[in-house]
Amino acid sequence: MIEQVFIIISFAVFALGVAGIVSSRNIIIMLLSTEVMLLSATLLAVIFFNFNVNGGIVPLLFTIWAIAAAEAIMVIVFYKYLLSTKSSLDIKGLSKLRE
Amino acid sequence: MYNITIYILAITAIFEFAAIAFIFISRSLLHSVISLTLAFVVNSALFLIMKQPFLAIIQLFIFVGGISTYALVGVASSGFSKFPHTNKFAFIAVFVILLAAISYPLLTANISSTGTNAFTPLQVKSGITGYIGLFYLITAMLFGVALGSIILFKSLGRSK
Repeated sequence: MIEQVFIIISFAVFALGVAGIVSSRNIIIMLLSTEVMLLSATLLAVIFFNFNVNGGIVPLLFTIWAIAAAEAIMVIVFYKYLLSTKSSLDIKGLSKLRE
Repeated sequence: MYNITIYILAITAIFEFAAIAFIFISRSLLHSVISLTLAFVVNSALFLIMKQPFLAIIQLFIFVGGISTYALVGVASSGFSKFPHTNKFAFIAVFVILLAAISYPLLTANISSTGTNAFTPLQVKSGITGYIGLFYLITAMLFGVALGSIILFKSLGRSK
């Protein structure tokens, strides 16, 4: 029973992240949504390994956390690019990247 | 004992959902970043409820490193772009539909728990439990210092 509650919490967090990406136009907010989805991935991994498998979870979790940290670097790069082009944080502004 | 766990879990989950929802409701990037911070802290509390204090501590470390980056960007972009960025109706609709779609198979599933702890072979759980409060305290202090410096720099920028 309690495992299913944990899994539903994880699914809800993932759904919130996807809904944030779909409904938002701000590029930083979209990256924060990806961070939320990674949060749900760590939660689900811990639930799965905690309740069902007796094995090593640390490599998987560190991979997820490394992706999350790399994404924070991506935010800086995007922000630097947007500052250099003097555009707004609106995702529609990136359509200028087309040929 | 089981009922208490369920209540704590429910309160923690409500805090997590509220924090994540406020990321998209708030118009200021800085407020969104603070909400994400709360979501990270609550997520580490969920790890604690699952009796995984080692992972909870690492989650806090990740949040101190990663969130400070986001906070810097959030502060730097204050006044840079303030448009109503989230379509709230689309947000709620996508959330409800997606949650119903991915949770429906779980209602009929029969999940059997082995009740084993994945970290028992590594023996990381036994000696580290007493230090959790200290780690939370240090994290809260670091985050308080970060927020205070942000407020200070913003007020300095305003006075110029």
